[in-house]
Amino acid sequence: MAIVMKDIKKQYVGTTKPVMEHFDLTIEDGSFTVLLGPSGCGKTTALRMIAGLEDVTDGRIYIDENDVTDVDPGDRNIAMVFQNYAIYPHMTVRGNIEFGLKNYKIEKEEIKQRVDYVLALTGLSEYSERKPAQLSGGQRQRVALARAISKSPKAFLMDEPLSNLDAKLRTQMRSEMIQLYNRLKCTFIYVTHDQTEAMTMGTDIVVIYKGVIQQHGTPEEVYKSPANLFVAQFIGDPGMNALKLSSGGFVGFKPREAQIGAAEGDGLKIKGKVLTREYMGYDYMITIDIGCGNIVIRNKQHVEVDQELDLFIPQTALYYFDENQNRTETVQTGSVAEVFHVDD
Amino acid sequence: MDQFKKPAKYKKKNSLVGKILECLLLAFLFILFVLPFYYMVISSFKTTIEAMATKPVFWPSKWVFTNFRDAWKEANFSKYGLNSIIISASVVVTCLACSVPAAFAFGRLQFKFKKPLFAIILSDMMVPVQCIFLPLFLIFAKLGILNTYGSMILLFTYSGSTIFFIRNAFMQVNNEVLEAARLDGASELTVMFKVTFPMVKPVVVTMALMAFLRRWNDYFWNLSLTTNDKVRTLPYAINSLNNATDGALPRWEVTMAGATLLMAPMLIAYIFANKQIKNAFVYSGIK
Repeated sequence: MAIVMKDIKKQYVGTTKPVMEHFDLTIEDGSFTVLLGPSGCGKTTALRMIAGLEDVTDGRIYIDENDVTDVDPGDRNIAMVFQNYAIYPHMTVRGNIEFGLKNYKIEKEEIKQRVDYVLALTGLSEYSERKPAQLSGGQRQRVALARAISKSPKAFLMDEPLSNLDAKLRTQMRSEMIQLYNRLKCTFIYVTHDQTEAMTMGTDIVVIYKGVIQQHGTPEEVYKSPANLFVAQFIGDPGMNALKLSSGGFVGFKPREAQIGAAEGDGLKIKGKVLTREYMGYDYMITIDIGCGNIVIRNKQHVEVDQELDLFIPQTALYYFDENQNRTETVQTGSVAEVFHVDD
Repeated sequence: MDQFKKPAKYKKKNSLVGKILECLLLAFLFILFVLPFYYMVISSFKTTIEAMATKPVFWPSKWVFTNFRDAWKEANFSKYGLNSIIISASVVVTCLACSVPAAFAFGRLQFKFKKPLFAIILSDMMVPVQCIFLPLFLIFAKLGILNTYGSMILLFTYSGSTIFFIRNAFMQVNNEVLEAARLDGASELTVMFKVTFPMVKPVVVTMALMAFLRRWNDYFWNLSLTTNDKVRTLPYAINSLNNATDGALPRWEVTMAGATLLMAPMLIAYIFANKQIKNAFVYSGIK
């Protein structure tokens, strides 16, 4: 089911500035699209507008070519999983799943079949008569998922569904969601600020910043070919280092591309002093003071704090951005003025 | 390391003197509140002489149980008790039927003039009843409904405080739960009754008890809005025990027995619902 947001404007009552304007987004049928961006960028607002939980100030929303802008949330044939699970605390697991199906006046026998199926699918069969208070965080999130699946919706909307779980459970649930998507093969729209989640789960990533779509592409595209400096610095662990040049342009490189030690050949050569060294298991995350700011690199080589380093980044690993921070193939020249961060 | 030094005016959190003072204060308050109840209950078992004695008698020398029988008979408990039950129970039903939807609307829905309308509802809690009883009496007289169950029930169907407290409880329900229900195809009525109502039930039960209690104990409206005995309730009947006839002295022990009988159902209800009531006060933000 394709979802289209066309020329959307959203402005909250009592505010002077819209949170988004001329917002256009097409979500392909059957994709796992992740809306990614920092807090307050408008990703949740976009999701809630698709769900019908938030009115649009201007523009139209289409689901399967039908204009649903003024359609009630319950009639959009979508299901949503919330950050805080939003399961009904006074109902049993079974009651939670049945509730929506009863509202849609589905026959009793079919309700039972569907509930049993989703309980088995989410591994909750033995907990069906328990109340949410008797379940763990992961189980509660599964109830929310089971409730969503039982409706056989055309699209699943998920608003940071894993952010309330601990790190281990999050990894496990991430894998379960990918399996679920592979099995159901219907449209998933997933909101997160965690770029690891976005990269690992999504077939498509939409990077949003200040209510504007910065880039829409596959995880490989946004990682390897960032459209602008914001995307380059938001994606990656950590994001790209960017150096502002005296010409106004920028040159960037990914933390893993920096080689330690003096080298010959075309590329960027920098000197710096180690500020911190964090052991990450596979390699080290090293923060280096290069005189005009700090950069972060990832390298397996053991270095000491306060050690002076020569760094070399090959020409092929350099990214260039024009003065408007947009990606360009034109080589930007000039002396390094400062280390640059988009949010500064 | 100066910052880790003990402050000069450091006080022990649980000093013995403080604890003793705390206990004394609590004991004083306990006696202050419990003594009148104790004296009422114990007096209902006394003989007339002990009940009338100028020196307080805290334990009867002879236990008289017939006071209760006399109170029941003289105060016509079967008639006035029935009136009390009919009016109090009906008020609970009508009051909640109006208050719950109103509270949900004020707590969870957006509509025009919500704030001023809510301010008007709150103002009900600020106006002393003595200010409005005469206009109400005149209105009811004009409508020709004085001395009817309808007038006594209608009067208490609206309760600003009940709406206020249930609204507070509705406001504490997580918004995402309501949104999930709407996405589950639930109408606003279904959201209210099937999703949020069970979550605020302790508060509603408490408000129901309080509405019942207010009517059960009411004496003021009982007298001010009636002109005969037809729909008057137990507090009126028990007070009438005081009105000695034929020059005889009032029998305090019988009046006390009547008062004890009047209070007993509510006391039993409170003992059973004690925990729920306390939870409800916490849940609705009444602290």
